[in-house]
Amino acid sequence: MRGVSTVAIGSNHFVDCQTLITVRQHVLLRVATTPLRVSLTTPPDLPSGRSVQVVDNQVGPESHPEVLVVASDTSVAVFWGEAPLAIATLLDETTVSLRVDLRLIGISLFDDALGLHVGHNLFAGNQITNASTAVALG
Amino acid sequence: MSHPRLAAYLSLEREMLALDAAGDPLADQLRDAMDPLWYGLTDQEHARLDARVIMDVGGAAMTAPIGEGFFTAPLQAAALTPTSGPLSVRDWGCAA
Repeated sequence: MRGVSTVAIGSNHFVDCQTLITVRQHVLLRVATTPLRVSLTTPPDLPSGRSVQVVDNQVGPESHPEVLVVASDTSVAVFWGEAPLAIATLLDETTVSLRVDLRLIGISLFDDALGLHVGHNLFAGNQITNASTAVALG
Repeated sequence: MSHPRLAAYLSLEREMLALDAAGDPLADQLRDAMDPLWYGLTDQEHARLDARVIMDVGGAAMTAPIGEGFFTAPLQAAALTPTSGPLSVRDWGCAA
């Protein structure tokens, strides 16, 4: 069961959003709480071929061998080798800080102090509540 | 890595799903016409497609087009470290 949660990414706040980001209708990024779970699944036609298939902290068989998940009660990190792709940290029972950088796998999506960078676009200071999908790309 | 058949399949699938969502019966005909393309994909591509979770994004809060710069060549890990400064330290070791 997915818990009520707020996910903060690059000055954006996603409240009770089942899916954070989709790419051409494929779920790219999800975070859920109670317990903390991260799903990061790249589209099947990803040009770089660096497939990441992590669902609820579990690495799927279609994932590239470089993909690794390290999880504890309060944090979940998805790595490409030694480089983090996504780090979710539970700030309190229902609030998650999420850092993401997918440039290493050939997707221009990352956050920094300015906001969430998606290609040449920037999402900053947004609050989205109760959306089945917060950001749909495609 | 290039997947021309997979890209074609996904492109047609998106059109088929859009027609289906609009209640257009042509969606079924398009689905049938896609069969040869499906059987022309590899087992690995079948597995990737079967493992997908497909969302109805009609209710998405924000939508944005994917520009040309969204899919890129993978950055090398070393490039994630700023290198523009004057300081460069390499192969340095220290044990107290």
